[in-house]
Amino acid sequence: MAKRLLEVENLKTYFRSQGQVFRAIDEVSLHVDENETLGIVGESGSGKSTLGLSILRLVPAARNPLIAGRILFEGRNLLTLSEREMRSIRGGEISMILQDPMTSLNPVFTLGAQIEEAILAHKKTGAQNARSAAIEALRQVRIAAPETRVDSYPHQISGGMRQRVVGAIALASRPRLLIADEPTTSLDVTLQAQYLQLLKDLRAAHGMSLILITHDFGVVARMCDRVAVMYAGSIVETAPVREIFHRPRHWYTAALLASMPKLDHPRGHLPTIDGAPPRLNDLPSGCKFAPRCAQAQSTCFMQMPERQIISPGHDIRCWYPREAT
Amino acid sequence: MMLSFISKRFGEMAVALLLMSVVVFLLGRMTGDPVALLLSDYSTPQDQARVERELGLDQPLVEQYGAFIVNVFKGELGNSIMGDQSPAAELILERFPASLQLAGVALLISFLIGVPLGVVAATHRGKTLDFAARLVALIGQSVPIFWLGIMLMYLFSVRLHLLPTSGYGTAAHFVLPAATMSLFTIAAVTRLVRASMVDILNAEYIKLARIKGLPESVVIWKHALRNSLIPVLTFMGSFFANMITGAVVIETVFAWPGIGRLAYEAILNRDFPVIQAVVLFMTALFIGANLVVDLLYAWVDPRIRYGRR
Repeated sequence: MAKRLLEVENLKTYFRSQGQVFRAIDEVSLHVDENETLGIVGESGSGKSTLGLSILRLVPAARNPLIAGRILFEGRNLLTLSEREMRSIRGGEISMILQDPMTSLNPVFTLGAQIEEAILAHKKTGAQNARSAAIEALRQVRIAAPETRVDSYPHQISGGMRQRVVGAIALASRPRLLIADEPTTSLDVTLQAQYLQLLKDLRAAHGMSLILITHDFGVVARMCDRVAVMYAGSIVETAPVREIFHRPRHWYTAALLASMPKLDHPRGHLPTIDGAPPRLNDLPSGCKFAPRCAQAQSTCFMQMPERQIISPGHDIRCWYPREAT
Repeated sequence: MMLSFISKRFGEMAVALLLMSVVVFLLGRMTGDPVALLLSDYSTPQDQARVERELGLDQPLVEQYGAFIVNVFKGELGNSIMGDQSPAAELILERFPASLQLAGVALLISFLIGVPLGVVAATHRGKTLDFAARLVALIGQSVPIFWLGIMLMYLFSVRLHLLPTSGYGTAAHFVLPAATMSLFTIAAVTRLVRASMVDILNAEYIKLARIKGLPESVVIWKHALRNSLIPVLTFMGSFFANMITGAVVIETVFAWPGIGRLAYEAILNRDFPVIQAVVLFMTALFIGANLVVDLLYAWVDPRIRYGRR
């Protein structure tokens, strides 16, 4: 039995603005085991990125957030830690890669300085050691000639390289858990494949766990052990990756998979899901997907279904799940 | 690359100076007749013609300008027509250190106060501290300099006897003129830093700096501030210009022996060689300051340092 690394219980992240409440993360529960990759899939605006930032307690204060629930990391509840304790978690135990490599690096500092800083934030060591560790970190993300690149500025390297440097910064202090938020969305296709392979290799080499946030089922199939599907701030289905692809039980998951382009039907219309996701300040009182769900019945509009386990490692929130065919 | 950049800027500077010299020259000729001022009311038309000839004022304007510009290149800016007729260049060099000291102190104060004030305003956006900083900025940018100078003088010198009213010599003499001179710039720096900081605090690299586990103080005062200063630097040249033009008023109010007061005195006396020389000198300073800013820019922002990718 694998060891639990992270356990999120009933997490809520609400934003308050002009007297309205936006339920960005609504009663989310999930877990990540050691050495495991969990995919989080959903449309834009479904709360995937907010979930990642909530775990690190880095939701922008300007949005007036209200966070409740429990985030247990190796048994400690991150939501009750002091800011100082939280700082040693960030980068040191849990790290994150952001979406946009073009703006993730500070333009006025060298690559080396930005990596060294990440190392020195968690380890008291000399400048010389930090520098060689930074060079080593660049080598690890397969940057050519790291000894000279270490003194380059972000604008002097390509987008693909920048995203690898962001990876080097995130991994500089050997975190136990890496949250990668759409790490390849802004890279072109060949670079995407390279980067995913790199992440996979580094995850295995460091023995860390990975939460991969994406909207791309192709990436999920390639990388993940388990998948959580998010819709309008809630996780509607969690399952091992094979189950999700072969036996999706939630109607939203099924609809999402159906809207993926497939090589064996090259022609005709791509199926889409009618309607639009609900606004987060005006969520339906029942199941959030009910207004768009072809199978919705009256119960669905009355009450949000609870999480139910339907087979080992597979849970959904649906009143009338799809048949397992 | 850096060299061609500098030489290009020097070329531009020369053109700007040349154009300015035309304006200065024409303005000097248009605002009055120096001959009438030099001679007594009892002088004859013959006397006037003689003086005009001596000063070259009987020549066509184009030739007068030609002679003027040739002299400028030789470093001769003409002689004062007042007092002992000392060379204008000498007068300027004599007065300039006092102006430079005052502007330097004022600029330093502006940054030492304006930058932290802007940062605090940005990080406490919408809170009381932000409101207070913006109020200071609003006042600083709307109060007229001459009024502020006189009020400060009245309060601290006349009423409280804490500081000398005017003059030059000790550190205490700097306090009031430098405070008066820097208030506007403090306000401007505060607003600029606040605006760019508010923007930059939303940047992805600020998020990444926090993800690394850096303390908030490092995130703000290192990662965000260095980037926020880039737009502020752009305005350094115009701040410096403000201080030079402001110097005319402030140096007059506080009897500060700088080039600002020299300009004021020359204008009062219609001492046109000195006016020309001072204005030309201020122009050169202004352009020179902007050149320095461009070089500083390259130092702060590595994207500029290397010219191109």
